[in-house]
Amino acid sequence: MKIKLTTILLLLVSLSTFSQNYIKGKIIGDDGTPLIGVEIKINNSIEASSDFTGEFNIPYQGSYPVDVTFSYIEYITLTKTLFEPANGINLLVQMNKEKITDLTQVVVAASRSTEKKIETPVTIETFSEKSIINGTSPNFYDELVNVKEVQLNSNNLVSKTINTRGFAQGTNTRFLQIADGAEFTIPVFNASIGNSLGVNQLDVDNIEILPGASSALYGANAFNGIMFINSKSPFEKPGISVYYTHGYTSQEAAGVNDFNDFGLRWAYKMTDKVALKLNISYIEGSDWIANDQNSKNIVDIGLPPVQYFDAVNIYGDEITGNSAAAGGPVSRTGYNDADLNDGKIENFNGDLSFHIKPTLDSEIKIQQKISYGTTNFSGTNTRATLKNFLVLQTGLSYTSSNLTFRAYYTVDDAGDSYDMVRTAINVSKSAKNNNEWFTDYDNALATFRNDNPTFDNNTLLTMAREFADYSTVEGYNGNLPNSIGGQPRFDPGTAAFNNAFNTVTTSNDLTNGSRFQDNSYTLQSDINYNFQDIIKFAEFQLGGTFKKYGLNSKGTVFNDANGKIDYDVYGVYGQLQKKLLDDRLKLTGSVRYDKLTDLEGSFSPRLSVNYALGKRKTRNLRASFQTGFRNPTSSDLYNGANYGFIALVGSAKDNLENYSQVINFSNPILGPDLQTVDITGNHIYDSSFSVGSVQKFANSFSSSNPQAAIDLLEIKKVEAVKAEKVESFELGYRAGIGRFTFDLNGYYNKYTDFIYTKKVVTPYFMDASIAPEYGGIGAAILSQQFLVHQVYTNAEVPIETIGLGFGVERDFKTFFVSGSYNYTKLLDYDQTIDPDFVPEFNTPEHAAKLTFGSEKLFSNFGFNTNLRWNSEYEWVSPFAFGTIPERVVFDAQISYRIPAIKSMVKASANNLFGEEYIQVIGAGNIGQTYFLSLTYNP
Amino acid sequence: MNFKIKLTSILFLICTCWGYSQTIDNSDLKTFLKKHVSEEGFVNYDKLVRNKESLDDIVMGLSKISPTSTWSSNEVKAYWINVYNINVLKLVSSYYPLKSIKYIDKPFQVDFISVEGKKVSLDYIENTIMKGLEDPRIYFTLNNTCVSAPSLNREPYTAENLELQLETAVKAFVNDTSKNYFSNTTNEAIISPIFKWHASEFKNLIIFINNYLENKQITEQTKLTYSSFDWTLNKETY
Repeated sequence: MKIKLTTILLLLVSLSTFSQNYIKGKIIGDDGTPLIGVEIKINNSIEASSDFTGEFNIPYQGSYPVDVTFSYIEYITLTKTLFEPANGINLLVQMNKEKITDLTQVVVAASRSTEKKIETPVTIETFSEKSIINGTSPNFYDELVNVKEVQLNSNNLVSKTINTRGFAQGTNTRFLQIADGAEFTIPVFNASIGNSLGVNQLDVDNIEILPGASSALYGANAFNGIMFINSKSPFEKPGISVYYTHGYTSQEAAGVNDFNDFGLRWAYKMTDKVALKLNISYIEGSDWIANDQNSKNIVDIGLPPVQYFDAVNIYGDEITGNSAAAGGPVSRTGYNDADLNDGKIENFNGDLSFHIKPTLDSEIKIQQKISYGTTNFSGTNTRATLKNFLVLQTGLSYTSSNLTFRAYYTVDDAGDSYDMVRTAINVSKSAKNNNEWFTDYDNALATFRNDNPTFDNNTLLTMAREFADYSTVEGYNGNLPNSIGGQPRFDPGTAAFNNAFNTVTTSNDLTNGSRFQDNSYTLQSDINYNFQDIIKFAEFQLGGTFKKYGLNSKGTVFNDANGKIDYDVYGVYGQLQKKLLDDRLKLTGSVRYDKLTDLEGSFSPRLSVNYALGKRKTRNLRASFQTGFRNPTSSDLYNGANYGFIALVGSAKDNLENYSQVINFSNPILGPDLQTVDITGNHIYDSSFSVGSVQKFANSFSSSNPQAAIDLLEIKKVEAVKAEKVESFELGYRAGIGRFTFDLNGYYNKYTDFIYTKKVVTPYFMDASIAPEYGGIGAAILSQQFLVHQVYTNAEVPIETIGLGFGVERDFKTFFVSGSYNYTKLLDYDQTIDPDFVPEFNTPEHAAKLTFGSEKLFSNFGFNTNLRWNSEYEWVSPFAFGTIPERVVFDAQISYRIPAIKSMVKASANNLFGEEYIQVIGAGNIGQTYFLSLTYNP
Repeated sequence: MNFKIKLTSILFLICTCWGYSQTIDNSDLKTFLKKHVSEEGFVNYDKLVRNKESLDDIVMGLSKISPTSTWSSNEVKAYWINVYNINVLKLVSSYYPLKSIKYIDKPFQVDFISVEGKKVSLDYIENTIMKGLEDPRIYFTLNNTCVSAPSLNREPYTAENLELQLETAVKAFVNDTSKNYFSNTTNEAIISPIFKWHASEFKNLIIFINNYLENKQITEQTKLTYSSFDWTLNKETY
């Protein structure tokens, strides 16, 4: 008994002393709810975190007073000093939310883990739901144009691309767009078209844009930049929301046309663990009519336009033939872009997802996305109409606090899409083939000139063209030659034209039709693991990605007429991030290895340093070295379509071996027998003349000095295409000073092996032993026995760019203001090293943006204005080139909130008081857009 | 004889005159508090140290007055609350800068407050004098400069406004989520240790709290625990 009592007493005593050795309590937020997972440090060393009730219980044997620090993302770090042991009593700790400023808001993309915007190792631009609500553009995707460093290149309301840091393209294959972790790249294009298959405006939670190369974390094609669109969780934001926009697009060429845009989001939270989400949106409207009549030729060879002219938005006039009577090349009459499409654009996007949360911090998602529509589209090489184009994406993802796994399958169906350029060429041909047309022209010109010596040249040329087109000249009573064949040209609007148009656009035949078929797919899988719970001294992440490309265009785009082509890309990466010096210094290092089946693998490292200044760490310096790379596109690798007037030949190793075109021909120079040559891919890349040298040769060949002309011919072996690389150095400074937030950044990029495409001329035969008077090695050229090929290779000269960016934001009580300025310059390079290469920089040297508005000016009215200015710049692409003039664009909106029905009405005008302007040469001029929208968003 | 009566009556008059004129002129205290206490209840200690002289004047002024039997209960309560609060400031300002009042040796036990000619401690005022006033609401107006203490009122307590001031102070304290936690999901609460220290003075703690608690009510079944008192100096951080 006695012993029992003493043991009990002992126990009690030890228990009470035991309880004195704990620091325990409960942590709550400003609204009184417990905070889970708060990091607790005692005297900066012992670590623990609060449990799911917000409570913590940490053994502590040390002395008093003792400092206990509580830190939690988005909350102000709190330190409490304990002066005496708590004796088992709970500490009640309340933490206050940090004021969300531009700097304190949390981002994920920069390091693949959560961190505050101010301390990201690289430049990041963010776009929130607020920007959508305050936006002046018809849709959130258009509104991105107002974000610092973003360049928007629009064709119309549906087709557009964004770009950062130079080298913009109509189809941007150097900028990656990701929705909830999955790329929404369309397989056949290796690029995204606007927001097709993206995220519904009502479902956008936030957007993060990383300008510049980020291949170390995100692999191939995160080259010019990368954009992440994150959607709202159906668990956190259930309910229904709707928007409807009705507006007008006004352009001189197209007139005033209306457009409608409707969207719905429905998120249904069945239980705390299961939810469903459905998004649908539909937009229909009209294209901006493309009617650029400027010449497409870089060099003006001084011929009268009536004889030879190739306009940007006239197709069919690329076909040229030599006319003895005209003494030079003549181009066929073409058709206007507007005659080759009906200008209607529409896009339906839908996605359905099923979400399951097996535990509080993990989620499984199964999603099906669909995009279907019609639009006009400026590809790199051509203008196309995507008609009834369908894209489907099925995905599965698993995310938990440390592990992310994703797999998704994307497939497209080109539907009734067709190439406008080839349509024009082939509709012309179906009236009169090239031989008939050019012979008629030649004969007519000779006849008219002979009969009417007083007529001026232009008149004669016009008459010759009319005869070639229509086999007659209206109102002319003189002698007409006999047309050697064919029918009069089909004029747009006539039944004959419509028939020919329909026949051509529905035909898969490469030389006579213009339809393109495609059922290509990509299968991609990513995995990422964050070792933060296992490895404590630093944050360590490992990840990998695998992507399979399956090409299936039945020979209309790729060289897959004889069977589908497929190839794989895979990558693995690791990242280490460590904070030192009281969390002021952050070091990040990452490295990634990627390989595409037939190409050499590449390493992409990244190193960055981040230092927080100021007592409250409100100023931050960052410096980084990053590398990026971009794999050649599926087209660069496996193109194999032969359209007659040109054949596109991709340069993947197996493609060069598989491509072949057997030609049977005869040429008296070689003898009477029929010759056969197999123009293989390898042959094209090894033994072709550059287009420039062939033009010089043809222009200067004369019997008096043939060798001089022959010497101008250049055989240039074209190297097979490989990945292009960029090395980037960047310095940045981000600060919150007073009520202003600033961001300043400067960068230097060095690009090597820039991928580009060019035309080459492949003669049927090339024989050095042929006498100079017959043309020597160029004999085949003189006999018109050559093929034109589009080849894909890399620049031999490195290219450098530098850039500077400055952004400032300030929130006043009623107003908000922000401004940005970007300077992007392509440095001079030695143009003699690779004269065929023209960098397609396509970016203005100076760009400035200003936003000024108020969410609530008075009662429930708000407004916003956006002003953008850019300096003049050149736009270069294989399809077209031109000068984009300096311009100022002004957008404005006024909005009225109706809290009773949780809605907002907005009236907005884009390009107010401004002239029409262009963003992509070859696409239509952008006029004014006016719209009224109603959003119901409880 | 006559002279003696005259003298005593004169003295009596003088005393009562003094007593009369000593009903309380808080204008100095009012100005002082407005100058040194922010709207959110944070005391600017740096400024306090610079203005030590005015602080001492006010303290001395208050020490010259004493509640008499003619004072109403509200006047008495208001007086002692003001005396307590201003003397805490005096104590802290003489040792500032410091992280907590606890760094001073026996801060609540040291006899430094002049009252009716003798020196008493903060503890004496709180636990003897105020206990005698039998109004537990008073404890929620006492600011001892610590984070867990009720916030300091910018206005001095006055007899006319006392009822309203007391009610406001208790309501603010009970609903302050940094000081008292009432769970939304489970039937439990963690309340300030002030309730424990003066537990015997509440007729019914649960009814008392429910009287002031907004949006919730606690019951006999509610699991009540007391939090520990954070003695850190409640200074404003920017």
